[in-house]
Amino acid sequence: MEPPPPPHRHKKCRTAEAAVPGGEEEEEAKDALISLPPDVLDGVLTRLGLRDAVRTSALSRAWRRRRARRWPPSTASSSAACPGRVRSFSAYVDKLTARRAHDWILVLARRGVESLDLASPIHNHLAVHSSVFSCDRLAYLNLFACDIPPLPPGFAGFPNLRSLTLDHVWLRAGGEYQLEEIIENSPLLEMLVLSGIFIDGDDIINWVIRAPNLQHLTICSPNDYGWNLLDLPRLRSAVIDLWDYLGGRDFAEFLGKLLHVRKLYLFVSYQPSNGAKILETLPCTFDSLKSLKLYMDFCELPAILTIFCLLRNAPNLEKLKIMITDNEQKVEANGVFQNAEWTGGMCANLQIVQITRISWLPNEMSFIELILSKASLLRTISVTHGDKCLMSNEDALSELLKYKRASPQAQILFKVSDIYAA
Amino acid sequence: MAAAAAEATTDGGGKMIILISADGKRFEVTEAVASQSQLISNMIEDDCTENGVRLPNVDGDILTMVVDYCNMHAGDAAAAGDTMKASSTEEELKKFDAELVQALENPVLFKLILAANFLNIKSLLDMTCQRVADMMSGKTPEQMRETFSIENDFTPEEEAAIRQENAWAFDD
Repeated sequence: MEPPPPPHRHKKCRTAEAAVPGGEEEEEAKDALISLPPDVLDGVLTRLGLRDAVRTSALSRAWRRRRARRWPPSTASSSAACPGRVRSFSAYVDKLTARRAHDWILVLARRGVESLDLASPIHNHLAVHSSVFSCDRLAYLNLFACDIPPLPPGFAGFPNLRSLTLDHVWLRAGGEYQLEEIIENSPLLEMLVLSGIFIDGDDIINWVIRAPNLQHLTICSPNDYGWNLLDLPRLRSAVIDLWDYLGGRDFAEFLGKLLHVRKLYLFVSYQPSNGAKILETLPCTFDSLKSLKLYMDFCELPAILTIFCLLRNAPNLEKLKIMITDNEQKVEANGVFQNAEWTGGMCANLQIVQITRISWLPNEMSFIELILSKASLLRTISVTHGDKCLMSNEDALSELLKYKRASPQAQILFKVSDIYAA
Repeated sequence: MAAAAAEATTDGGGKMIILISADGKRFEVTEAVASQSQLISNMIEDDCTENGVRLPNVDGDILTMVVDYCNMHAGDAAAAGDTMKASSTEEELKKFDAELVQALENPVLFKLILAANFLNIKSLLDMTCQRVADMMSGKTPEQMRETFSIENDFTPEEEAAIRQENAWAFDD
Protein backbone atom coordinates (compact mmCIF):
# COMPACT_ATOMS: atom_id res chain seq x y z
CA MET A 1 0.00 0.00 0.00
CA GLU A 2 1.18 3.51 -0.72
CA PRO A 3 2.30 5.73 2.14
CA PRO A 4 -0.39 8.07 3.38
CA PRO A 5 -0.40 11.38 1.56
CA PRO A 6 0.66 14.48 3.47
CA PRO A 7 -2.33 16.04 5.14
CA HIS A 8 -2.36 19.42 3.37
CA ARG A 9 -2.09 18.10 -0.13
CA HIS A 10 -5.41 19.33 -1.41
CA LYS A 11 -5.98 22.89 -2.38
CA LYS A 12 -9.51 23.10 -1.19
CA CYS A 13 -9.39 20.75 1.75
CA ARG A 14 -10.51 22.06 5.05
CA THR A 15 -8.83 20.25 7.87
CA ALA A 16 -8.35 21.64 11.34
CA GLU A 17 -11.64 23.46 11.78
CA ALA A 18 -13.66 20.29 11.82
CA ALA A 19 -11.64 18.56 14.51
CA VAL A 20 -13.95 16.28 16.42
CA PRO A 21 -14.23 17.15 20.09
CA GLY A 22 -13.57 14.00 22.02
CA GLY A 23 -12.62 12.28 18.81
CA GLU A 24 -9.20 11.28 20.02
CA GLU A 25 -9.85 11.52 23.73
CA GLU A 26 -12.23 8.77 24.65
CA GLU A 27 -13.76 11.01 27.26
CA GLU A 28 -16.86 12.78 26.07
CA ALA A 29 -16.86 16.55 26.00
CA LYS A 30 -18.95 17.93 28.83
CA ASP A 31 -21.32 19.91 26.63
CA ALA A 32 -21.03 18.48 23.15
CA LEU A 33 -23.82 20.71 21.89
CA ILE A 34 -22.18 24.05 22.56
CA SER A 35 -18.86 22.64 21.38
CA LEU A 36 -20.23 22.29 17.86
CA PRO A 37 -18.63 24.69 15.37
CA PRO A 38 -20.41 28.04 15.71
CA ASP A 39 -22.00 28.01 12.27
CA VAL A 40 -23.31 24.50 12.84
CA LEU A 41 -24.74 25.49 16.22
CA ASP A 42 -26.37 28.47 14.52
CA GLY A 43 -27.85 25.99 12.09
CA VAL A 44 -29.45 24.17 15.00
CA LEU A 45 -30.63 27.24 16.88
CA THR A 46 -32.18 28.96 13.88
CA ARG A 47 -34.42 25.93 13.60
CA LEU A 48 -35.82 26.65 17.05
CA GLY A 49 -38.63 29.08 17.77
CA LEU A 50 -37.46 32.27 19.46
CA ARG A 51 -38.90 31.19 22.77
CA ASP A 52 -36.85 27.99 22.80
CA ALA A 53 -33.78 29.87 21.60
CA VAL A 54 -34.08 32.41 24.42
CA ARG A 55 -34.49 29.61 26.94
CA THR A 56 -31.03 28.33 26.09
CA SER A 57 -29.60 31.36 27.90
CA ALA A 58 -30.55 29.67 31.17
CA LEU A 59 -28.68 26.42 30.45
CA SER A 60 -25.22 27.37 31.64
CA ARG A 61 -22.74 30.25 31.66
CA ALA A 62 -21.36 29.27 28.29
CA TRP A 63 -24.86 29.34 26.85
CA ARG A 64 -25.60 32.69 28.47
CA ARG A 65 -22.47 34.16 26.89
CA ARG A 66 -23.55 32.81 23.56
CA ARG A 67 -27.05 34.24 23.79
CA ALA A 68 -25.69 37.64 24.85
CA ARG A 69 -24.27 38.05 21.36
CA ARG A 70 -27.66 37.46 19.83
CA TRP A 71 -30.61 39.75 19.35
CA PRO A 72 -33.16 40.25 20.79
CA PRO A 73 -31.60 40.04 24.24
CA SER A 74 -34.95 40.01 26.00
CA THR A 75 -37.69 42.52 26.59
CA ALA A 76 -37.78 45.94 25.06
CA SER A 77 -36.91 47.53 28.37
CA SER A 78 -33.81 45.51 29.00
CA SER A 79 -32.63 45.86 25.43
CA ALA A 80 -32.66 49.60 26.06
CA ALA A 81 -29.88 48.80 28.51
CA CYS A 82 -27.60 47.67 25.69
CA PRO A 83 -27.86 50.55 23.27
CA GLY A 84 -26.47 50.75 19.79
CA ARG A 85 -27.48 50.11 16.25
CA VAL A 86 -29.15 46.88 15.28
CA ARG A 87 -28.40 46.44 11.64
CA SER A 88 -30.15 43.23 10.95
CA PHE A 89 -33.00 41.36 12.56
CA SER A 90 -34.53 38.13 11.44
CA ALA A 91 -37.09 36.07 13.31
CA TYR A 92 -39.71 33.41 12.98
CA VAL A 93 -42.50 34.67 15.18
CA ASP A 94 -44.91 32.07 16.50
CA LYS A 95 -48.05 32.55 18.53
CA LEU A 96 -46.16 32.72 21.83
CA THR A 97 -43.71 35.37 20.73
CA ALA A 98 -46.12 37.47 18.68
CA ARG A 99 -46.82 39.84 21.58
CA ARG A 100 -43.08 40.48 21.99
CA ALA A 101 -42.65 41.14 18.31
CA HIS A 102 -44.44 44.47 18.67
CA ASP A 103 -41.92 45.62 21.24
CA TRP A 104 -39.03 44.50 19.09
CA ILE A 105 -40.22 46.36 16.04
CA LEU A 106 -40.59 49.53 18.13
CA VAL A 107 -37.06 49.13 19.40
CA LEU A 108 -35.74 48.20 15.97
CA ALA A 109 -37.26 51.32 14.44
CA ARG A 110 -35.42 53.44 16.99
CA ARG A 111 -32.21 51.50 16.49
CA GLY A 112 -32.09 52.21 12.79
CA VAL A 113 -32.54 48.63 11.61
CA GLU A 114 -31.43 48.18 8.00
CA SER A 115 -32.52 44.65 7.34
CA LEU A 116 -35.72 43.19 8.71
CA ASP A 117 -36.96 39.70 8.01
CA LEU A 118 -40.09 38.48 9.79
CA ALA A 119 -41.87 35.23 9.19
CA SER A 120 -44.72 33.58 11.05
CA PRO A 121 -46.81 30.42 10.71
CA ILE A 122 -49.02 30.62 7.65
CA HIS A 123 -52.17 29.69 9.58
CA ASN A 124 -51.45 32.02 12.43
CA HIS A 125 -49.94 35.00 10.79
CA LEU A 126 -48.37 37.87 12.60
CA ALA A 127 -50.06 41.23 12.77
CA VAL A 128 -47.06 43.46 12.15
CA HIS A 129 -46.94 46.60 14.28
CA SER A 130 -47.28 49.82 12.34
CA SER A 131 -43.95 51.04 13.69
CA VAL A 132 -42.45 48.98 10.87
CA PHE A 133 -43.28 52.00 8.72
CA SER A 134 -41.04 54.17 10.89
CA CYS A 135 -37.96 52.02 10.16
CA ASP A 136 -36.69 54.64 7.75
CA ARG A 137 -33.21 53.17 7.38
CA LEU A 138 -34.49 49.88 6.02
CA ALA A 139 -32.67 48.67 2.94
CA TYR A 140 -34.16 45.21 3.00
CA LEU A 141 -37.64 44.23 4.18
CA ASN A 142 -38.95 40.71 3.96
CA LEU A 143 -42.33 39.74 5.41
CA PHE A 144 -43.74 36.25 5.19
CA ALA A 145 -47.23 35.34 6.46
CA CYS A 146 -48.00 38.72 7.98
CA ASP A 147 -50.94 41.09 8.31
CA ILE A 148 -49.87 44.52 7.15
CA PRO A 149 -51.35 47.41 9.14
CA PRO A 150 -52.54 50.56 7.41
CA LEU A 151 -49.94 53.26 6.83
CA PRO A 152 -49.67 55.70 9.70
CA PRO A 153 -50.43 59.33 8.87
CA GLY A 154 -47.28 61.09 7.75
CA PHE A 155 -45.57 57.97 6.39
CA ALA A 156 -42.25 59.30 5.13
CA GLY A 157 -41.41 56.41 2.86
CA PHE A 158 -38.38 54.13 2.90
CA PRO A 159 -35.70 56.35 1.40
CA ASN A 160 -33.09 53.58 1.51
CA LEU A 161 -35.16 50.54 0.67
CA ARG A 162 -33.63 48.43 -2.08
CA SER A 163 -35.40 45.14 -1.66
CA LEU A 164 -39.02 44.51 -0.65
CA THR A 165 -40.48 41.03 -0.42
CA LEU A 166 -44.09 40.53 0.60
CA ASP A 167 -44.89 36.86 0.58
CA HIS A 168 -48.33 35.75 1.74
CA VAL A 169 -49.32 39.02 3.30
CA TRP A 170 -52.78 40.32 4.03
CA LEU A 171 -53.78 43.94 3.56
CA ARG A 172 -56.98 45.69 4.58
CA ALA A 173 -59.46 47.11 2.10
CA GLY A 174 -57.71 49.73 0.03
CA GLY A 175 -54.42 47.90 0.45
CA GLU A 176 -53.66 48.48 -3.20
CA TYR A 177 -53.22 52.20 -2.53
CA GLN A 178 -51.00 51.36 0.36
CA LEU A 179 -48.77 49.23 -1.84
CA GLU A 180 -48.69 52.00 -4.40
CA GLU A 181 -47.65 54.51 -1.77
CA ILE A 182 -44.95 52.28 -0.28
CA ILE A 183 -43.44 51.50 -3.68
CA GLU A 184 -43.65 55.08 -4.89
CA ASN A 185 -41.96 56.32 -1.71
CA SER A 186 -39.08 53.88 -1.94
CA PRO A 187 -37.12 55.60 -4.68
CA LEU A 188 -34.13 53.26 -4.57
CA LEU A 189 -36.15 50.07 -4.83
CA GLU A 190 -34.32 47.55 -6.99
CA MET A 191 -36.07 44.33 -6.15
CA LEU A 192 -39.79 43.85 -5.59
CA VAL A 193 -41.39 40.50 -4.84
CA LEU A 194 -45.16 40.36 -4.45
CA SER A 195 -46.03 36.75 -3.97
CA GLY A 196 -49.47 35.91 -2.62
CA ILE A 197 -50.91 39.29 -1.69
CA PHE A 198 -54.41 39.28 -0.30
CA ILE A 199 -56.40 42.49 -0.12
CA ASP A 200 -59.69 42.75 1.77
CA GLY A 201 -62.80 43.88 -0.06
CA ASP A 202 -64.11 43.20 -3.52
CA ASP A 203 -63.39 46.29 -5.53
CA ILE A 204 -59.84 46.99 -6.45
CA ILE A 205 -59.40 50.47 -7.75
CA ASN A 206 -56.86 51.40 -10.37
CA TRP A 207 -53.39 51.66 -8.90
CA VAL A 208 -49.94 51.55 -10.39
CA ILE A 209 -46.51 50.13 -9.69
CA ARG A 210 -44.05 52.88 -10.46
CA ALA A 211 -40.42 52.14 -9.63
CA PRO A 212 -37.82 53.83 -11.80
CA ASN A 213 -34.87 51.88 -10.34
CA LEU A 214 -36.48 48.48 -10.24
CA GLN A 215 -34.27 45.73 -11.63
CA HIS A 216 -36.23 42.67 -10.61
CA LEU A 217 -39.97 42.14 -10.27
CA THR A 218 -41.84 39.06 -9.12
CA ILE A 219 -45.62 38.96 -9.19
CA CYS A 220 -47.26 35.69 -8.19
CA SER A 221 -50.93 36.02 -7.52
CA PRO A 222 -54.05 33.91 -7.62
CA ASN A 223 -56.11 37.12 -7.60
CA ASP A 224 -56.31 39.90 -10.13
CA TYR A 225 -55.32 43.09 -8.37
CA GLY A 226 -54.88 45.11 -11.49
CA TRP A 227 -51.10 45.03 -11.71
CA ASN A 228 -50.68 48.17 -13.74
CA LEU A 229 -47.01 48.59 -14.39
CA LEU A 230 -45.55 51.99 -15.14
CA ASP A 231 -42.07 53.22 -15.78
CA LEU A 232 -39.78 50.25 -15.31
CA PRO A 233 -36.88 51.34 -17.52
CA ARG A 234 -34.18 49.44 -15.62
CA LEU A 235 -35.97 46.17 -15.22
CA ARG A 236 -33.69 43.26 -16.08
CA SER A 237 -35.57 40.24 -14.85
CA ALA A 238 -39.14 39.31 -13.99
CA VAL A 239 -41.12 36.36 -12.69
CA ILE A 240 -44.79 36.50 -13.63
CA ASP A 241 -47.24 33.95 -12.28
CA LEU A 242 -50.78 35.25 -12.65
CA TRP A 243 -53.42 32.59 -12.29
CA ASP A 244 -56.00 34.26 -14.45
CA TYR A 245 -53.83 36.33 -16.78
CA LEU A 246 -55.52 39.56 -15.70
CA GLY A 247 -59.04 38.31 -16.35
CA GLY A 248 -60.50 39.83 -19.50
CA ARG A 249 -57.88 42.58 -19.75
CA ASP A 250 -54.96 42.58 -22.05
CA PHE A 251 -52.20 40.27 -20.84
CA ALA A 252 -50.10 41.14 -23.87
CA GLU A 253 -50.16 44.82 -22.97
CA PHE A 254 -49.11 43.94 -19.42
CA LEU A 255 -46.15 41.93 -20.70
CA GLY A 256 -45.25 44.85 -22.93
CA LYS A 257 -44.39 46.79 -19.78
CA LEU A 258 -41.58 44.33 -19.15
CA LEU A 259 -40.00 45.39 -22.42
CA HIS A 260 -36.41 45.66 -21.20
CA VAL A 261 -36.02 42.38 -19.36
CA ARG A 262 -33.11 40.13 -20.18
CA LYS A 263 -34.56 37.27 -18.23
CA LEU A 264 -38.21 36.30 -17.96
CA TYR A 265 -39.95 33.50 -16.09
CA LEU A 266 -43.52 33.14 -17.15
CA PHE A 267 -46.24 30.77 -15.99
CA VAL A 268 -48.67 29.98 -18.78
CA SER A 269 -49.85 26.66 -17.45
CA TYR A 270 -53.28 27.79 -16.20
CA GLN A 271 -56.38 27.31 -18.26
CA PRO A 272 -57.63 30.71 -19.29
CA SER A 273 -61.14 31.31 -17.99
CA ASN A 274 -63.68 34.14 -17.97
CA GLY A 275 -62.63 35.28 -21.39
CA ALA A 276 -59.01 35.66 -20.34
CA LYS A 277 -56.56 35.27 -23.16
CA ILE A 278 -53.00 34.18 -23.05
CA LEU A 279 -50.93 35.39 -25.90
CA GLU A 280 -51.45 35.45 -29.59
CA THR A 281 -49.81 38.73 -30.43
CA LEU A 282 -47.54 41.09 -28.53
CA PRO A 283 -47.45 44.86 -28.92
CA CYS A 284 -43.68 45.02 -28.95
CA THR A 285 -40.44 43.16 -29.57
CA PHE A 286 -38.39 42.04 -26.60
CA ASP A 287 -35.00 42.92 -28.03
CA SER A 288 -33.15 42.52 -24.72
CA LEU A 289 -34.59 39.14 -23.83
CA LYS A 290 -31.84 36.53 -23.69
CA SER A 291 -33.29 33.93 -21.38
CA LEU A 292 -36.88 32.74 -21.19
CA LYS A 293 -38.27 30.15 -18.83
CA LEU A 294 -41.81 28.97 -19.36
CA TYR A 295 -43.97 26.86 -17.08
CA MET A 296 -46.37 25.36 -19.58
CA ASP A 297 -47.68 22.26 -21.24
CA PHE A 298 -48.21 21.17 -24.80
CA CYS A 299 -51.68 19.73 -24.14
CA GLU A 300 -53.88 22.55 -25.39
CA LEU A 301 -53.64 25.34 -27.91
CA PRO A 302 -53.41 28.51 -25.78
CA ALA A 303 -50.03 27.64 -24.27
CA ILE A 304 -48.67 26.38 -27.58
CA LEU A 305 -49.73 29.58 -29.33
CA THR A 306 -48.17 31.55 -26.48
CA ILE A 307 -44.75 30.01 -26.87
CA PHE A 308 -44.75 30.76 -30.59
CA CYS A 309 -45.91 34.30 -29.94
CA LEU A 310 -43.06 34.82 -27.48
CA LEU A 311 -40.47 33.27 -29.77
CA ARG A 312 -41.62 35.48 -32.66
CA ASN A 313 -41.10 38.56 -30.48
CA ALA A 314 -37.78 37.68 -28.87
CA PRO A 315 -35.30 37.82 -31.73
CA ASN A 316 -32.20 37.74 -29.52
CA LEU A 317 -33.24 34.88 -27.29
CA GLU A 318 -30.34 32.56 -26.50
CA LYS A 319 -31.73 30.27 -23.86
CA LEU A 320 -35.16 28.70 -23.63
CA LYS A 321 -36.21 26.60 -20.67
CA ILE A 322 -39.53 24.83 -20.56
CA MET A 323 -40.89 23.25 -17.40
CA ILE A 324 -43.73 21.00 -18.45
CA THR A 325 -46.66 20.96 -16.06
CA ASP A 326 -49.19 18.60 -17.62
CA ASN A 327 -49.05 15.48 -19.73
CA GLU A 328 -52.51 14.77 -21.09
CA GLN A 329 -52.62 15.91 -24.66
CA LYS A 330 -56.12 17.10 -25.51
CA VAL A 331 -55.58 18.78 -28.86
CA GLU A 332 -53.27 17.75 -31.62
CA ALA A 333 -50.91 20.49 -32.75
CA ASN A 334 -48.85 18.54 -35.21
CA GLY A 335 -45.78 19.50 -37.16
CA VAL A 336 -47.77 21.12 -39.96
CA PHE A 337 -49.73 23.20 -37.47
CA GLN A 338 -46.65 24.29 -35.58
CA ASN A 339 -44.74 24.98 -38.75
CA ALA A 340 -47.49 27.39 -39.79
CA GLU A 341 -46.78 29.38 -36.62
CA TRP A 342 -43.16 29.79 -37.60
CA THR A 343 -41.97 33.04 -39.13
CA GLY A 344 -38.58 33.99 -40.54
CA GLY A 345 -35.95 35.08 -38.01
CA MET A 346 -37.48 33.13 -35.17
CA CYS A 347 -34.92 31.51 -32.85
CA ALA A 348 -32.11 32.93 -34.97
CA ASN A 349 -29.93 33.30 -31.89
CA LEU A 350 -31.23 30.38 -29.86
CA GLN A 351 -28.37 28.30 -28.51
CA ILE A 352 -29.66 26.34 -25.56
CA VAL A 353 -32.98 24.64 -25.02
CA GLN A 354 -33.91 22.75 -21.87
CA ILE A 355 -37.13 20.83 -21.53
CA THR A 356 -37.95 19.35 -18.16
CA ARG A 357 -40.58 16.71 -17.40
CA ILE A 358 -41.31 15.76 -20.98
CA SER A 359 -43.76 12.90 -21.55
CA TRP A 360 -42.92 12.42 -25.24
CA LEU A 361 -46.36 13.66 -26.33
CA PRO A 362 -46.74 14.03 -30.10
CA ASN A 363 -47.07 17.81 -29.65
CA GLU A 364 -43.87 17.93 -27.63
CA MET A 365 -42.01 15.85 -30.20
CA SER A 366 -43.23 18.08 -33.03
CA PHE A 367 -41.99 21.14 -31.16
CA ILE A 368 -38.52 19.67 -30.73
CA GLU A 369 -38.44 18.59 -34.32
CA LEU A 370 -39.34 22.09 -35.46
CA ILE A 371 -36.72 23.77 -33.24
CA LEU A 372 -34.04 21.36 -34.41
CA SER A 373 -34.91 21.94 -38.03
CA LYS A 374 -34.89 25.75 -37.78
CA ALA A 375 -32.54 27.00 -35.06
CA SER A 376 -29.28 27.31 -36.93
CA LEU A 377 -27.09 28.33 -33.96
CA LEU A 378 -28.46 25.70 -31.58
CA ARG A 379 -25.77 24.06 -29.45
CA THR A 380 -27.68 21.83 -27.07
CA ILE A 381 -31.17 20.70 -26.47
CA SER A 382 -31.41 18.85 -23.19
CA VAL A 383 -34.42 16.89 -22.19
CA THR A 384 -35.49 15.39 -18.90
CA HIS A 385 -38.51 13.16 -18.72
CA GLY A 386 -41.41 13.33 -16.28
CA ASP A 387 -42.98 10.49 -14.32
CA LYS A 388 -45.57 9.45 -16.90
CA CYS A 389 -44.21 8.82 -20.34
CA LEU A 390 -46.10 7.93 -23.45
CA MET A 391 -43.31 5.80 -24.84
CA SER A 392 -40.03 4.41 -23.62
CA ASN A 393 -37.09 6.77 -23.35
CA GLU A 394 -35.13 4.63 -25.80
CA ASP A 395 -37.82 4.83 -28.46
CA ALA A 396 -38.25 8.55 -27.91
CA LEU A 397 -34.54 9.19 -28.14
CA SER A 398 -34.05 7.20 -31.30
CA GLU A 399 -36.93 9.22 -32.77
CA LEU A 400 -35.27 12.49 -31.69
CA LEU A 401 -31.97 11.46 -33.23
CA LYS A 402 -33.68 11.03 -36.60
CA TYR A 403 -34.77 14.67 -36.76
CA LYS A 404 -33.07 16.95 -39.20
CA ARG A 405 -30.81 19.54 -37.56
CA ALA A 406 -30.32 23.05 -38.94
CA SER A 407 -27.30 23.56 -36.74
CA PRO A 408 -24.34 21.29 -37.46
CA GLN A 409 -23.17 21.56 -33.85
CA ALA A 410 -26.53 20.82 -32.22
CA GLN A 411 -26.37 18.12 -29.58
CA ILE A 412 -29.23 16.31 -27.94
CA LEU A 413 -28.67 15.57 -24.28
CA PHE A 414 -30.92 13.34 -22.26
CA LYS A 415 -30.92 13.18 -18.49
CA VAL A 416 -32.68 10.53 -16.51
CA SER A 417 -35.01 11.17 -13.58
CA ASP A 418 -33.77 14.58 -12.75
CA ILE A 419 -37.24 15.77 -11.97
CA TYR A 420 -36.23 18.63 -9.76
CA ALA A 421 -33.88 20.28 -12.22
CA ALA A 422 -34.34 24.00 -12.06
CA MET B 1 -24.49 -1.51 0.04
CA ALA B 2 -21.85 0.64 -1.57
CA ALA B 3 -21.07 -2.01 -4.11
CA ALA B 4 -24.70 -2.57 -5.04
CA ALA B 5 -25.28 1.10 -5.70
CA ALA B 6 -22.07 1.28 -7.68
CA GLU B 7 -23.15 -1.48 -10.02
CA ALA B 8 -26.51 0.10 -10.58
CA THR B 9 -24.88 3.31 -11.63
CA THR B 10 -24.13 3.18 -15.27
CA ASP B 11 -23.79 6.71 -16.51
CA GLY B 12 -21.67 9.66 -15.43
CA GLY B 13 -20.73 8.35 -12.01
CA GLY B 14 -18.90 5.29 -13.27
CA LYS B 15 -15.50 6.17 -11.87
CA MET B 16 -14.83 4.82 -8.40
CA ILE B 17 -13.00 6.54 -5.59
CA ILE B 18 -11.82 5.26 -2.23
CA LEU B 19 -12.64 6.99 1.04
CA ILE B 20 -10.44 6.12 4.01
CA SER B 21 -11.67 6.71 7.54
CA ALA B 22 -9.59 7.83 10.53
CA ASP B 23 -9.22 4.20 11.62
CA GLY B 24 -8.17 3.05 8.16
CA LYS B 25 -11.43 1.53 6.90
CA ARG B 26 -11.79 1.81 3.14
CA PHE B 27 -15.00 2.53 1.26
CA GLU B 28 -15.30 2.30 -2.48
CA VAL B 29 -17.94 4.61 -3.92
CA THR B 30 -18.75 6.10 -7.30
CA GLU B 31 -17.86 9.67 -8.00
CA ALA B 32 -21.56 10.45 -8.35
CA VAL B 33 -22.21 9.16 -4.83
CA ALA B 34 -19.18 10.85 -3.29
CA SER B 35 -19.88 14.16 -5.04
CA GLN B 36 -22.75 14.80 -2.69
CA SER B 37 -19.95 15.92 -0.41
CA GLN B 38 -18.95 19.34 -1.65
CA LEU B 39 -15.50 18.77 -0.18
CA ILE B 40 -14.95 15.62 -2.21
CA SER B 41 -16.62 17.13 -5.24
CA ASN B 42 -14.02 19.92 -5.13
CA MET B 43 -11.25 17.36 -4.80
CA ILE B 44 -12.57 15.44 -7.79
CA GLU B 45 -12.50 18.67 -9.77
CA ASP B 46 -8.91 19.21 -8.68
CA ASP B 47 -7.98 15.65 -9.60
CA CYS B 48 -6.65 14.79 -6.19
CA THR B 49 -8.59 11.65 -5.37
CA GLU B 50 -6.59 9.03 -7.23
CA ASN B 51 -4.77 7.70 -4.16
CA GLY B 52 -7.89 7.58 -2.06
CA VAL B 53 -9.32 10.32 0.09
CA ARG B 54 -8.19 10.26 3.71
CA LEU B 55 -10.71 11.60 6.16
CA PRO B 56 -8.75 11.95 9.41
CA ASN B 57 -11.76 13.48 11.18
CA VAL B 58 -14.22 10.72 10.47
CA ASP B 59 -14.38 7.34 12.20
CA GLY B 60 -15.19 4.22 10.25
CA ASP B 61 -18.55 3.76 12.00
CA ILE B 62 -19.60 7.27 11.13
CA LEU B 63 -18.29 7.02 7.59
CA THR B 64 -20.35 3.84 7.14
CA MET B 65 -23.47 5.85 7.90
CA VAL B 66 -22.40 8.69 5.66
CA VAL B 67 -21.70 6.35 2.76
CA ASP B 68 -25.05 4.60 3.29
CA TYR B 69 -26.76 7.95 3.30
CA CYS B 70 -25.01 9.08 0.13
CA ASN B 71 -25.78 5.82 -1.63
CA MET B 72 -29.45 6.16 -0.75
CA HIS B 73 -29.53 9.75 -1.93
CA ALA B 74 -27.44 9.38 -5.05
CA GLY B 75 -30.61 9.41 -7.15
CA ASP B 76 -31.50 12.94 -6.01
CA ALA B 77 -28.54 14.51 -7.62
CA ALA B 78 -29.21 13.59 -11.20
CA ALA B 79 -27.20 10.41 -11.03
CA ALA B 80 -28.21 7.75 -13.47
CA GLY B 81 -29.83 4.46 -12.60
CA ASP B 82 -33.14 2.87 -13.33
CA THR B 83 -35.54 5.59 -14.31
CA MET B 84 -38.60 3.94 -12.86
CA LYS B 85 -37.01 3.56 -9.47
CA ALA B 86 -36.51 7.24 -8.85
CA SER B 87 -40.05 8.25 -8.01
CA SER B 88 -40.93 5.14 -6.06
CA THR B 89 -38.01 5.56 -3.69
CA GLU B 90 -39.04 8.94 -2.36
CA GLU B 91 -41.07 7.34 0.40
CA GLU B 92 -38.27 4.92 1.14
CA LEU B 93 -35.82 7.77 1.36
CA LYS B 94 -37.91 9.59 3.94
CA LYS B 95 -38.21 6.42 5.95
CA PHE B 96 -34.51 5.73 5.65
CA ASP B 97 -33.62 9.28 6.77
CA ALA B 98 -36.00 9.17 9.71
CA GLU B 99 -34.65 5.83 10.88
CA LEU B 100 -31.07 6.94 10.43
CA VAL B 101 -31.30 9.84 12.88
CA GLN B 102 -34.01 8.64 15.27
CA ALA B 103 -32.05 5.75 16.61
CA LEU B 104 -28.77 7.51 17.30
CA GLU B 105 -27.28 8.10 20.72
CA ASN B 106 -26.25 11.72 21.23
CA PRO B 107 -22.48 11.25 20.88
CA VAL B 108 -22.99 9.45 17.58
CA LEU B 109 -25.45 12.07 16.38
CA PHE B 110 -22.92 14.82 17.10
CA LYS B 111 -20.17 12.95 15.31
CA LEU B 112 -22.45 12.54 12.33
CA ILE B 113 -23.15 16.29 12.37
CA LEU B 114 -19.44 17.05 12.45
CA ALA B 115 -18.80 14.63 9.62
CA ALA B 116 -21.59 16.16 7.53
CA ASN B 117 -20.16 19.59 8.25
CA PHE B 118 -16.60 18.59 7.42
CA LEU B 119 -17.58 16.76 4.26
CA ASN B 120 -20.01 19.56 3.47
CA ILE B 121 -23.07 17.44 2.70
CA LYS B 122 -25.79 20.01 3.06
CA SER B 123 -28.84 17.73 3.12
CA LEU B 124 -27.32 15.49 5.79
CA LEU B 125 -26.24 18.48 7.85
CA ASP B 126 -29.73 20.00 7.59
CA MET B 127 -31.35 16.76 8.62
CA THR B 128 -29.09 16.16 11.63
CA CYS B 129 -29.33 19.78 12.81
CA GLN B 130 -33.11 19.52 12.54
CA ARG B 131 -32.99 16.40 14.68
CA VAL B 132 -31.11 18.25 17.43
CA ALA B 133 -33.49 21.20 17.18
CA ASP B 134 -36.43 18.80 17.51
CA MET B 135 -34.85 17.37 20.63
CA MET B 136 -34.64 20.88 22.15
CA SER B 137 -38.03 22.22 21.10
CA GLY B 138 -40.58 22.89 23.78
CA LYS B 139 -38.32 21.74 26.57
CA THR B 140 -37.62 23.56 29.81
CA PRO B 141 -33.97 24.40 30.53
CA GLU B 142 -33.86 21.50 33.00
CA GLN B 143 -35.08 19.07 30.36
CA MET B 144 -32.62 20.43 27.81
CA ARG B 145 -29.75 20.01 30.27
CA GLU B 146 -30.80 16.46 30.93
CA THR B 147 -31.15 15.62 27.24
CA PHE B 148 -27.72 16.94 26.34
CA SER B 149 -25.78 16.37 29.60
CA ILE B 150 -25.22 20.06 30.15
CA GLU B 151 -23.90 21.00 33.57
CA ASN B 152 -25.66 23.88 35.30
CA ASP B 153 -22.86 26.12 36.57
CA PHE B 154 -25.08 29.04 37.59
CA THR B 155 -25.67 30.03 41.16
CA PRO B 156 -29.38 29.88 41.99
CA GLU B 157 -29.43 33.72 42.12
CA GLU B 158 -27.88 34.03 38.66
CA GLU B 159 -30.31 31.59 37.17
CA ALA B 160 -33.27 33.35 38.77
CA ALA B 161 -32.05 36.68 37.36
CA ILE B 162 -31.85 35.28 33.84
CA ARG B 163 -35.31 33.83 34.04
CA GLN B 164 -36.61 37.11 35.43
CA GLU B 165 -35.09 39.10 32.60
CA ASN B 166 -36.67 36.91 29.96
CA ALA B 167 -39.74 35.90 31.91
CA TRP B 168 -41.90 35.73 28.80
CA ALA B 169 -39.85 32.87 27.44
CA PHE B 170 -39.96 30.85 30.61
CA ASP B 171 -43.58 30.93 31.76
CA ASP B 172 -45.18 27.75 30.59
